[in-house]
Amino acid sequence: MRTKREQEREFIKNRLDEELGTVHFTREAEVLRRSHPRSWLERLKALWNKEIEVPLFPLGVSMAVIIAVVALTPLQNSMDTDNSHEEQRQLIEAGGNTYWKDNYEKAVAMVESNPQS
Amino acid sequence: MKVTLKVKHLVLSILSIGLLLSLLQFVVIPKLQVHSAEKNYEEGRIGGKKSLLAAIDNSATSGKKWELIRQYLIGNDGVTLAHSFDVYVGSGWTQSGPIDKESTIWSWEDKLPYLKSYLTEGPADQYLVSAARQLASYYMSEDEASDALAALESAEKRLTGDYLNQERALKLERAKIYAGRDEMTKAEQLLEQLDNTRNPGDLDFNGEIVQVRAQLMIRQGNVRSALDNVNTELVALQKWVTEEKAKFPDMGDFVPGKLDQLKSLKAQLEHALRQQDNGLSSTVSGVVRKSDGTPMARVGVFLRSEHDVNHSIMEGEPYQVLTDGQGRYDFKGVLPGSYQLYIGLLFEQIDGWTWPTMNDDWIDVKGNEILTENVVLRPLIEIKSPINQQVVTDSTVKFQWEPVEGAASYTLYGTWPSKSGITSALIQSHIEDDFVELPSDTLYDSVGGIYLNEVDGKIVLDPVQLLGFANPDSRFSWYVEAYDQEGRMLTRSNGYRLNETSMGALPFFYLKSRTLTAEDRLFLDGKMDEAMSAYKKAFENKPQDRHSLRMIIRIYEGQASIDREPTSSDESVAYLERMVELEPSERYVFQLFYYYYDKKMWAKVDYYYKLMAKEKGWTNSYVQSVYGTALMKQRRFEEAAVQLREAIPNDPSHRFVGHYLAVEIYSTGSLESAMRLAEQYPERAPLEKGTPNWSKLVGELELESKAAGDGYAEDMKQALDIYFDGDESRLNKWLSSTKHAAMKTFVRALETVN
Repeated sequence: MRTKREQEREFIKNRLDEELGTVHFTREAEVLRRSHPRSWLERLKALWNKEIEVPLFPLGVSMAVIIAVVALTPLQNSMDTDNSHEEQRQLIEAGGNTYWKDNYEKAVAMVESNPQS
Repeated sequence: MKVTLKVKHLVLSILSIGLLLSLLQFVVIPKLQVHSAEKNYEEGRIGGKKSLLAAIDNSATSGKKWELIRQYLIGNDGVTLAHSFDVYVGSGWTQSGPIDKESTIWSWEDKLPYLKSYLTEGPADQYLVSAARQLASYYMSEDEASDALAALESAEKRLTGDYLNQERALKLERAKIYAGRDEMTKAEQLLEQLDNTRNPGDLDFNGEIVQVRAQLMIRQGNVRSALDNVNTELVALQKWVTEEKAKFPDMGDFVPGKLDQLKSLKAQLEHALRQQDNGLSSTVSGVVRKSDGTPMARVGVFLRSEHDVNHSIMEGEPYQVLTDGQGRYDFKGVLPGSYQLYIGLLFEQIDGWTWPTMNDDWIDVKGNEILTENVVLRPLIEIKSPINQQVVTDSTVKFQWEPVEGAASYTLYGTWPSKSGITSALIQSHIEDDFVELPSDTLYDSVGGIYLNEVDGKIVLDPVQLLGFANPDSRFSWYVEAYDQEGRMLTRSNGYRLNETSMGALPFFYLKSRTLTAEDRLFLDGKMDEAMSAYKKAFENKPQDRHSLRMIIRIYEGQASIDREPTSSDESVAYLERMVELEPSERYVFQLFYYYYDKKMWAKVDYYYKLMAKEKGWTNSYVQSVYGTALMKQRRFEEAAVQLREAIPNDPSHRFVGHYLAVEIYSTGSLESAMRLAEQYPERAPLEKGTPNWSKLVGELELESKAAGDGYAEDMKQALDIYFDGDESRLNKWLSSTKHAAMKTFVRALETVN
């Protein structure tokens, strides 16, 4: 004896079949291929189009880190050499001698911090 | 928060970011690096050269590489030795480029590989010519003439299309090399080819061909033909200039540089011809090395005629060369005349060293001589005390330095900065030890020349400069020069000190053995009149007050300098005499000597000259020549001749030789002996125009005297008498009435003697 619940299901199915009888899926096979891939190509395509959920924060952070590293490494390198360029090298005439200004200023600062008398 | 996306979108976006990053890494960043390297080099920053070379090595494209080599290594100036060095040193003279930058001049070590690669692989353009010429000059300095010729030839072969002028430049360069190697036929062949393709508008190049050809002829002893050649070119050049002026009347006065050079060559050739029938040329050669024996390779050596030394070194001067690996240089075909040797050095070559050449170091080339002139660089003297801004409070200052081997005496100088620049003053000469302990008063008495400033259209004195060592607030520095027995400079303590080892101790010190007085403060505030009366008052109250006395004299001196008076003013004389009474020092005695000389008060001149002659080192050839002149004006000819005979050989400029000739002519009446003296002591004052050529003047006197016959000697004596008396109106009257043109020119020349 079928239960009442089974009878209801049967009825709904019949109604659906009846109502959708005129509607026909033309790409039935394709849909089937997609939902149930058989060949490797089909599997690959499925993977290619697979929707994934990605947490935004870790993704953003990791991208930023990669960009920063790649972009800044060469710049950093040139900065390293640039740092020594920072000071423009000038000559200075002082006390009858010609010095590089940076050397001279360093030497004067040194004797001034350590005055003799 | 999460986003939903398809795998394909994720992959594609990762790929495009990757692409972007590589674009950045391989295109954008290298471009930025090149840009920054160029900027660093151009602005002369530390390491600018290195980063530029790295940028060239890492250029993304060969086009960019060649462009950088062209622009920065080959350049436009690098070809000539006149622009290839950081520092040029000549007779008592040093010149360097702008001091506010790191040198942008390349060492050969840096430059060579790039020039070589440009020569073989670079684009065939005018820079190829320049690269080849630079390489050729390098190979010549390596004594590898065949490589030099090969470099020039290979560049010539690589040039295709419209590069006729460039090909000609390469040919001329080859001709010069052949000429230098005495391969006259080959050189002449090339010059002929160049003549056949002559372009009348290319003045510099045509002039250069003539210069090279003249050089060839001189070397073959054919000065006459060389002169004819130069004359022909000069005519052509002048004709061209006239035509151009007619075509473009708005062009204004236009004198091509080559015209001057050819005129100067013409003068030299004529001089050579006067000396000899057909003027034989000489060789000047030598070695440039350091005193420790290290030869100095690739130093620029310039043999500069007296016509050229009044300007900086130029491309067209005939005798310039690079030393070879052993520091050797040699100039062949040098025309008779007076020359000075100059050298060009890179900073790293001169750092810590000096070439102790002196003012008026002349090389007299007579004719058919082989002269050796070595250049020896010596290490700078290391100073010991006072150094590193030491504060001296004692009443004496002890200066000490490392002794120099072979030094017979030392001369000590002090310097201090003020608004108008840096003053350098002689402190003491003839110091026999490697130290000297001086009372601070000796330093206070040292003063340099007087600097004037313009404030609101008024000429004023610079108090900090005039107060000198007596200013306890100034920071002073000092340097010392070492001389040998003959008075030749051996070395000095001041020079290029560009690295930590060569820097040594700083030559600065403070002298705080006195404090500023109220009068000094008025003086420093620029209140000259008030300061003067205050100093006078202080001196009246205390006649032993040397400082006030010194300042009174100094203000008077400054005033005389503002009024352009040649000597001390009458008011200052009493103070000077008092100063000499207190303690005679060279400076004040000389001022009195010169004052009385100018006033023709001969007894006083004698007195002060004797005072100076007593002290070692107080007289020099100048003082002695002035005294000789004073004796001449008093008609004490014998004594005058003694003084001048002694003084003139000691003064290489021979600036008083005119007076010696006047004494000789007046006292002996002989033009012959005067002629000998004039030839022996040619006057040389390269910085002044119209320096008399005394041998020429005396030669003309001889001719005139022969033509005029009897009475000429008497007229000459009369003319000299008027000159000796120095009465201007009588002199002018004589000058306008005399018929003897040569005598007139001679007396006019005497007027320039000082």
